[in-house]
Amino acid sequence: MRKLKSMPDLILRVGSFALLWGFASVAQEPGEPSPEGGPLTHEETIWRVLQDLESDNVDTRVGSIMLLGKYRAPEALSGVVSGLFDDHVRVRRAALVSLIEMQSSMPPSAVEPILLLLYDEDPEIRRMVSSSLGMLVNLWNTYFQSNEQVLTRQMFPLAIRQGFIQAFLDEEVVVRRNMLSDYFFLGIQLPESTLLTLLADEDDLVRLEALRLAGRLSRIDAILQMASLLVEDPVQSIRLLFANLLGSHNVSGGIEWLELLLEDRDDEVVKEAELSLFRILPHVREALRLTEHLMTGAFNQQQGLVFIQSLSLLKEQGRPFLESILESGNPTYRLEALRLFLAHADIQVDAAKLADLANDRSERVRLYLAGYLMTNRKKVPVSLIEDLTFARHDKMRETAMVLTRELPQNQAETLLLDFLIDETPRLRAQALDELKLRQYGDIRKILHLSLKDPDGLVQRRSVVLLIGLNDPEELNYLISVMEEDPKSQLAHYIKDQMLRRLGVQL
Amino acid sequence: MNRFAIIALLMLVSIPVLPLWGIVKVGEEADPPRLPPKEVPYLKVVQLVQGDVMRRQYPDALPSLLEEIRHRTTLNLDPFPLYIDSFEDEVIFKHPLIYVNFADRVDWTLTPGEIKNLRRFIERGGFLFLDAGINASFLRGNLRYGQMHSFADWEVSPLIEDAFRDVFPENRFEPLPRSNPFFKSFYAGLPDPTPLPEAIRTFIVNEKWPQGTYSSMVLKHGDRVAVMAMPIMAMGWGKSEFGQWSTRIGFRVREGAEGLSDRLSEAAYGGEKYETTREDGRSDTIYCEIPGTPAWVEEPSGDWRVFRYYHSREISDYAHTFYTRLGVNLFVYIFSQ
Repeated sequence: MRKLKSMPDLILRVGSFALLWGFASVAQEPGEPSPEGGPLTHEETIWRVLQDLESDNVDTRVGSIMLLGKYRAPEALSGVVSGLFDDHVRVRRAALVSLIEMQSSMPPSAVEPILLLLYDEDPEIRRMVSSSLGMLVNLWNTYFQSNEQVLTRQMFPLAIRQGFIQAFLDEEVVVRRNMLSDYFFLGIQLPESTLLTLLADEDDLVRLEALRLAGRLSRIDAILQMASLLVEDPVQSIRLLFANLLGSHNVSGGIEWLELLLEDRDDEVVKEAELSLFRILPHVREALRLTEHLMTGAFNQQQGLVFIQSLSLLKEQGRPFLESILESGNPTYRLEALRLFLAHADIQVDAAKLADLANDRSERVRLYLAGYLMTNRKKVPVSLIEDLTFARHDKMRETAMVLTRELPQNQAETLLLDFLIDETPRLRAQALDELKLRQYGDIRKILHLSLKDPDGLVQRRSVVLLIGLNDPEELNYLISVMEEDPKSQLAHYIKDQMLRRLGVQL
Repeated sequence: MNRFAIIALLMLVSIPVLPLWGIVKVGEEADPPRLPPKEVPYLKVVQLVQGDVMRRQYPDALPSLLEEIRHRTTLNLDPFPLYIDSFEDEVIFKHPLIYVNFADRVDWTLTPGEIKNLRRFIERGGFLFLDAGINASFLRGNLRYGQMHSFADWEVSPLIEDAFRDVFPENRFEPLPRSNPFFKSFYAGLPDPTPLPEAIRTFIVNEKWPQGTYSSMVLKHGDRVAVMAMPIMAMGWGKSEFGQWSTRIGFRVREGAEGLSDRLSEAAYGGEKYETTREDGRSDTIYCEIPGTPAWVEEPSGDWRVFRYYHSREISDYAHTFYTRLGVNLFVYIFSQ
């Protein structure tokens, strides 16, 4: 056997090899020719090509693997898998390409031998294996999850798991990048020391990915060991990410590194450092300065959102800042500020402010407010409902109408009557429903008048509600309306509804 | 006449007198050019989709490419195409370019109205691009095959050949030489092949896409290229809303080994055998074991080689970059030829 880079579990490989080769060697000798294309049958072709695998000539073995890879017969596939164990790198490469070519149709038994090639001495092979990790792990999981014999989730054998870990420090940069990208597929726990080593990697992308991973997996104290490199990293995204990470952890050493980053050559990094310092040591004076950054667009959007969220650290003292952000020109900021503002708002005390917010230019802001009011409907004061009744946007007026259900009869009726002259027909129709539900004394008169509404929707709603009164007098009234102009759309609608709802053919 | 009507008229008139727009190359590191004022209409691309537009092939491909062109060049293209379901739609006369993915049209029999309109469109300077308009014979059995394999063939799909025989009876599709300025109209040559696996690098550079070229058949009106067909390109253009490539592309590579020709010449194959046309007019014979997937080839020289399929992130990224560069070349070529 060729020398491997390092191989802690050679026995496993030799065992797999013997098993597969034994299977391949029982391939049947050719029988009768079949009518398929080519001078030979499939069986004959595969049998002859399997013989080629035993040749001393490397080219012959490579050609054999290439051709066997085109067939799906188990003996052909076993022959290809056996090529993974060949002494010659060209044969191993050929076998690997043939199997990866099959993607998810490759035999699941090939997954382990392929993953063991992460130990291979050939960098091209290690690159290829690392590039297919997602597919290979997925195939492995699918195979074991669909196998009813196996009740518990299988782990990869130790040699493979060790191979994964070793590959994070592979000399090939592509391998290192691929390992970092696919880390969460692998089901391993990467030693902290490996991650720290990668933070000093020569490749920009590896360092960035390693820092992202370290932020989720490592202790901040451990990351701080590499701080002197991170604050000087030539890649802006890395310094930015490091500043952000420091703000999420209140550690003693963090502040001094953030103060260094305040001197960074990149303004975005400086802003991130300021923000992180505020998150660690929130203070009103600092909040004032950072609010100004936010309002003047000095923060990027993500930084702005993080700053708004971190205002909650100031508790009650954060409220004036939230109120000024609620006036900002950025709807995403206003929405975030509204979330925080409402979390501590007192609906009674803040009613006037909420009435202002009901006229916010952003629909997302208004919808969030509407949802909040509906959730707290029992606490909404009459004055606020009255204000909402005249809000600029119909969704807010609709909210007000629903909120009238919490009011006593006389207060609700007054507001509902206002809705009868709302500019939005849908709301006028809805107001008729509400008045009918409340059994308003003059509902009949109102419904009669609404039959003359300029909008068809309101007219139709009135017809339905009048029919629903089940009063012969009202039915006769509808018939008289119909007879006034029998060709009008309203007349047709009355006729149709009489038939549908009462079975009366007019 | 209002301002918009004047602008629309100018665009109509502009079709036969291209180029009108100066094209400035914007370096890859540079910021994208500023958008012109809103009242100036964007250049619109018309896309033909027969049937449900929502079920078109590679839905995010063309918008992604148009966005890239906006970013890289001064062409002021609207990233959102205008959809038509027939060449009878008169909207084609308002815009200089129609893009069609061959598989987005089920029936390639042109109606008399379409024949008339296409002829007028081309005579007035319009350009029609037929993506997947080259479908090697082994891909013709199923529309999906032609969407997944960009096999270099120098023959347009027979359905397209027939359709255009009615539009311009005297003209025939012809190969676009690899030396044509099209292949250098914005990007010249291949992207840096260093990230590719060593085993396939030489094949890609020398055989698959020599000097960054691609198989292309064109139909000329006078001396002008008016219709262009290529094997599928859209599979390499699409990006998700997060800016990531939305497909994974592998490479099909021809590989040989000593003694392999003898084995292949007698090997069994379970699928079909097809002829494909090379650039020089000679034929390759393709053998399939699995339908729609070439397994090996007998070349005119008498050599036999196996098709090998390589997959990796680097390969996929490289293919996407190549197809996108070719797509940018296409649009710059159209607006500057």
